[in-house]
Amino acid sequence: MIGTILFSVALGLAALSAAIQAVWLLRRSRALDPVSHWLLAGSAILLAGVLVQRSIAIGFPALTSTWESLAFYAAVVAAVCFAYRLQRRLPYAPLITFLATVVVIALLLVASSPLAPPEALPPIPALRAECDRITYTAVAIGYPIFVAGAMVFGAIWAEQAWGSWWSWDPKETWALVTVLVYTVYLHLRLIVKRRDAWTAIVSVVGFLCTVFTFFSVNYLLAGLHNYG
Amino acid sequence: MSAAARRGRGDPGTPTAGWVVRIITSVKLAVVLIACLVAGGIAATLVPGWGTRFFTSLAFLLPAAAFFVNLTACTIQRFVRELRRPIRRRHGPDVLHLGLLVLMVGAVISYQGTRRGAVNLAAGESATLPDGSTLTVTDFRFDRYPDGRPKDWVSTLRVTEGDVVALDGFALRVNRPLRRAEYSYYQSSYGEEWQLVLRDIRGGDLVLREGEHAEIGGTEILFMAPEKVDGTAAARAVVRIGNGSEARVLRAAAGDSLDGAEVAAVRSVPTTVIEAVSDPGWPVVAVALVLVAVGAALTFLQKLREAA
Repeated sequence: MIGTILFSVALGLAALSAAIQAVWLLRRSRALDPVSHWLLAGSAILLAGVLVQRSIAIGFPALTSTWESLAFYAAVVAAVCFAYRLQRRLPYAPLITFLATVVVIALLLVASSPLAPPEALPPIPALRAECDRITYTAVAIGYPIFVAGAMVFGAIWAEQAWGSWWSWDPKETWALVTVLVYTVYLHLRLIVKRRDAWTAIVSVVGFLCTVFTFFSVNYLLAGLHNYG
Repeated sequence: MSAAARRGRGDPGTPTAGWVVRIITSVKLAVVLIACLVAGGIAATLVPGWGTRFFTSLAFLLPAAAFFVNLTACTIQRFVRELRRPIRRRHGPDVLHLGLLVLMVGAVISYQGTRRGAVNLAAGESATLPDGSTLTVTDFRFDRYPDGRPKDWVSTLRVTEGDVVALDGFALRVNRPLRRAEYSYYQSSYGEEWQLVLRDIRGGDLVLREGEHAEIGGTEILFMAPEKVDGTAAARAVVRIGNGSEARVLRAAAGDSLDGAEVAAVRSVPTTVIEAVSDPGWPVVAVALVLVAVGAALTFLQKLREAA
């Protein structure tokens, strides 16, 4: 019940944000509206809250059903829009934020439709095993590629370009943090019994670190790698 | 299990020693230490004022040192365990772990022993290299894209050892360092340099850089600085004529006459910044990176073979 209310409010905030952005776009004003991105941030927070509440309810990361995936993607897009509006490095294009907000609304509308049943159900045993297997396979493939590509060849390139293998630049530090989180994931599998809980949490943390390393470091933290 | 049986399986004889070995070979300890390093790395980038200083502090070095000890113990234990297996030995993680250990050793050597310095040279200027040879910038090019963004900096270099030209026409670029003996030279940056060009009565030109002095006709002339108006350098030089109580400071532009010399130009010329680096940890880090790459690939391939 609480989840449904939070979800509806999140959808309402996104719709209100889109309406305000549309008005500002039609006015062709150079000034940026001061509210819409905060509404999107509120929407993202509410959706994250819904997913946390469902995760607690089912005792498993709530990213297994279509409804949960749609809500998660909508929250991520809304959060990225908010960060994009606040950053100062890239020229800000209001139309991009508006189109992304439309995507958020579309995702939430599909989640509200009969196509995506909203019941919070624990994943079936096969799915639990499958999730774990898929996650492990993805990490097992991605980990050596990332270690070799980003860490080893990245260090070689840095030495070639700057005369230093490693500079503790934010991008480098976050790449290392990402590798270490996935290192924890791979080693946790060796020592914990309830793989589905802890390893799933660490893999989600690893994914968030990957996204942060790839996007957010460029916009939020200054360093040698801010050239893109 | 009896103490004798434990000793028979290779465990240390005393309970204390056994406890210590269990602790330092614990994968749980490794996970905790890695988590500490993760938390430290995140904090260093997000907490204002921490930055790279954090990575030389005890808060980082202590868990890193503990991780080194833990990883060494785990690697030895795992390697021995794999050796005892009759078939399907998986040494990929061992190679990867060994690479990480060598990398940490290389990092310490590199951190302790790296020497670096930079010179700012305009085309035609020279600097003495650490091995005694002379590096001359024969040309410096700053290429730009049509929208004005930097595209490339290219310094053309000549190295002479005494009167012998050891290297000529080497194009030093951002991704193409010059490696000579224990030093590597990098195209680090670019800048500008103000020059005061003096012409003596015989028509010969003498170029002074900021802070340099020369004696012309028995009078010492020091180029103190370009004159700055509202923070922007104008084409006038602040010079000191003479020494001691006789010295006087004046401003001179092209065409002005100083004692025994004429100011031919006050000009700004582009300069290249070349950084010299000597890293004694270079071979160790290079070997470590190869081991890490090979270890990661071996681990992956062995897993793949098992899955198949």
